[in-house]
Amino acid sequence: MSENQNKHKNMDEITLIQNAKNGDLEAFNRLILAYQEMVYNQAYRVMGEADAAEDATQEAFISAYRKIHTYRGGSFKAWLLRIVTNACYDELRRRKRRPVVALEPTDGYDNEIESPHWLADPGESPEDFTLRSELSLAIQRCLDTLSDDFRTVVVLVDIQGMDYSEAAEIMGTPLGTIKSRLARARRGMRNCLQKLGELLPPAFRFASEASE
Amino acid sequence: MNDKLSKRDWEIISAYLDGQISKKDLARFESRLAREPELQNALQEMRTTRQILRSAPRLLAPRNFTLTPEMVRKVIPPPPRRKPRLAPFFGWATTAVSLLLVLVLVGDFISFGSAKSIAMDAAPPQAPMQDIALEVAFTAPAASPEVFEAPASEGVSEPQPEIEAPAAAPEVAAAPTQEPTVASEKIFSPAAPAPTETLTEITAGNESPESVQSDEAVTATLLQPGAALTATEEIVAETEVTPTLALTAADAASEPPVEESAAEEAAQPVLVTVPAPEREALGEEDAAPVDGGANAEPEVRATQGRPAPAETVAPQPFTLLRIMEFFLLLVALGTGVIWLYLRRRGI
Repeated sequence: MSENQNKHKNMDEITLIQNAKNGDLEAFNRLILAYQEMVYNQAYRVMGEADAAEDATQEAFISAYRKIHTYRGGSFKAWLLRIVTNACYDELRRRKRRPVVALEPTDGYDNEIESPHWLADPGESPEDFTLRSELSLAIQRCLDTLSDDFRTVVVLVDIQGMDYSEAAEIMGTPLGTIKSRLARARRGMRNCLQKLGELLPPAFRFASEASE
Repeated sequence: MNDKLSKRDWEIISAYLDGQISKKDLARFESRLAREPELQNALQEMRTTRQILRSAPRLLAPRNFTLTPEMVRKVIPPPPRRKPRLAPFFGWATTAVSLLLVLVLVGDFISFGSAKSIAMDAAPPQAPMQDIALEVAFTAPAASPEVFEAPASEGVSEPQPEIEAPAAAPEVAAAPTQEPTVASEKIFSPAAPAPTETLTEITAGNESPESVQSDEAVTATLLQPGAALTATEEIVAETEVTPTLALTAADAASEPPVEESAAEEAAQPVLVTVPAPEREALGEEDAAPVDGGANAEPEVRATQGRPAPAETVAPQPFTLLRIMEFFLLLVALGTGVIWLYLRRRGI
């Protein structure tokens, strides 16, 4: 994307946000279409379930529309991530109070079979689909071993590409906390991914295992 | 795995990968990295982890999340009607009762101060009383040491703080008498007889039959809190017939050593002249000079015809105030405890 296109996109975004602030639902829906994938990915990686992620995403957009007047500029993406993170935390808290039984089908090893609809990517070869699916499953399985705060910070920084200060703003924690949580989360992911070993695609295996 | 590294090392490695390490730490870390293979391995593993995470497949949104007017208009159900909460009620009640208690206490303090000043006004000056006691004692040798002892112990044994005369006793005891030490011991003797008995004893010394009435009045008065001075005054007022006893009763607490000098000059009848301020202090006693108890009857009649002093009834409001203060304190504590309990329970 060229610089001009980015600038044009930003101008569009500012106009859409302004219109949405004035109650233009159509303008806000255009913003939703631009950011729904990002928001859904965040929700899915934090929640670990497709249905829960879907609910959290929808709740996040409804909440964002109602709170659009509180947006004071800056990164709209970070603002949305903050809202969806809060929505995920709310849902996680609810689930801790009232544990739910997963309705997802499981394979023979008690592993949930991911809903295929979100993995479907037209034009993707079956091999690529398998690789992507394997890697995605491995990452998600390891993310699920982390605590909520560690999982959220590692998803924000390493998957969503936020920098430390944005992550600190989104999570409402000091920069130093983000630093230490991220280090511990990455260390936990490293331990988990190393254990998975051959389940990872060869390109993503650790050097020590690849040499063995 | 490189589990020998410290938590701090892992933090530095993580920050180093993101370019979030300070220059100072960077120089140190790179020098360590050059000579520590474990650190190099850890850095490599962390880098791979980060790469895997960054390579996480981007999930497609399962559907569009666009909003409809109905979704936005969705009215949030109003919160369930809250039951009337009890905690605020008890909170306000506690505040109100506490304020009332403070008001009553302040009022009590003020009235106590005024009562004290009245008592001070009513209390006779010490020096004139001493004179009276001396002079009267001369005319009444029958006022034996027992009589002197009794009022002294009575005055002290009365547990009321309003007693002014006993408080002055040590000063008077320092007067030029021969047995000040003995008198002081008597004054502060804890084994003092009960007030009623003492007064009866006083009355017994007085041979006038009319004095029985005054005895009852004094006894009743002494049972009231803060009535010590009033009682003393009463004794003086009601026993004008025998000024020896009356004045001794009023003065005995502060003048125990007087008996010594009285005994010395008992044979010399003296006409007692009460100074004007002394008469006022003695409850507006008759201003006429008292003749050493020689003509007692007319004096008794005059006394009986006079209404009782107002101070005799005064202690009752104080008692009521005390009860009210205690009651308010209990209510304030009770409501306060209930308030805290309900607040904690969220009721």
